[in-house]
Amino acid sequence: MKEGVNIVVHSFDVALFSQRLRHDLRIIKEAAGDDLSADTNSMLVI
Amino acid sequence: MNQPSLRQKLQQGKNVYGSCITSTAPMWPKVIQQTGLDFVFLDTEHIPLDRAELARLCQQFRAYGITPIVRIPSPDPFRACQVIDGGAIGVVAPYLESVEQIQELVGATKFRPLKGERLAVYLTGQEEMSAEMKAYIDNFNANTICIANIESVPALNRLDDLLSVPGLDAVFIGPMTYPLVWAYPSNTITLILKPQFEALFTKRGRKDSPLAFIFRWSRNVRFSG
Repeated sequence: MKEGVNIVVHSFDVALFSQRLRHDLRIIKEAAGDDLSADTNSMLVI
Repeated sequence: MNQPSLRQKLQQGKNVYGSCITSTAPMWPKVIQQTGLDFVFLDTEHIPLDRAELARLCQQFRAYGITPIVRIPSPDPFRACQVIDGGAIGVVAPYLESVEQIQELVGATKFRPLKGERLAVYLTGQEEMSAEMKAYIDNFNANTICIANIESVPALNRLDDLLSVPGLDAVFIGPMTYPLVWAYPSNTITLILKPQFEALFTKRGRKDSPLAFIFRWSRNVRFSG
């Protein structure tokens, strides 16, 4: 932005939701001793 | 290889994970699948979703191997059948307080396609099904999950009776319900809920079938201890 950019598009809704959901599920599953492999850790490419 | 159904996972004592989804945008089901969720909770009681949107979501999530659990807007057995027709696998009926209401929900979710007087005689035990009919009904409803929303003091006071209804698979608890019921501020919810949950889990431990879902709606709610 120091170069002069003044329009910011930050992420998109489903990506933000997915990232936060993954973060929360990882904490919950680790605490419960569950397998984390179901999370494919892939994201949509837009 | 077929994945075990949500009901089978629960019967095996596994933990299952879900989230409440309100978006009908087409990219969401695939992204939800990639997070490894077992089920989605689709709420038609408080969220504006029409019948066609709901059926579309149920079909999409099912296609991705995610179990759609739908809360119907009122404890109405015809509504329960309707959402199953649209693709729901689990049905949550809100604000259940009586054994009769739970029996009606079980009838709608575990005895399909029976309805009316024929259903009533089997539900109340006045008549016993033939082995052939029982096998058909059991197979027809094999993976359906019947869930009661327990969200009031009268329901908690009758918990033993409510949990004793055969066919009830799970109890659904909304944490934000309790501060409303007891008029406590939400930031003290952990302290208020703990004895209630302990009582519920103790009762659950004495029963074979009902399992408890805890629905963490608000990010400022913490379960501890």
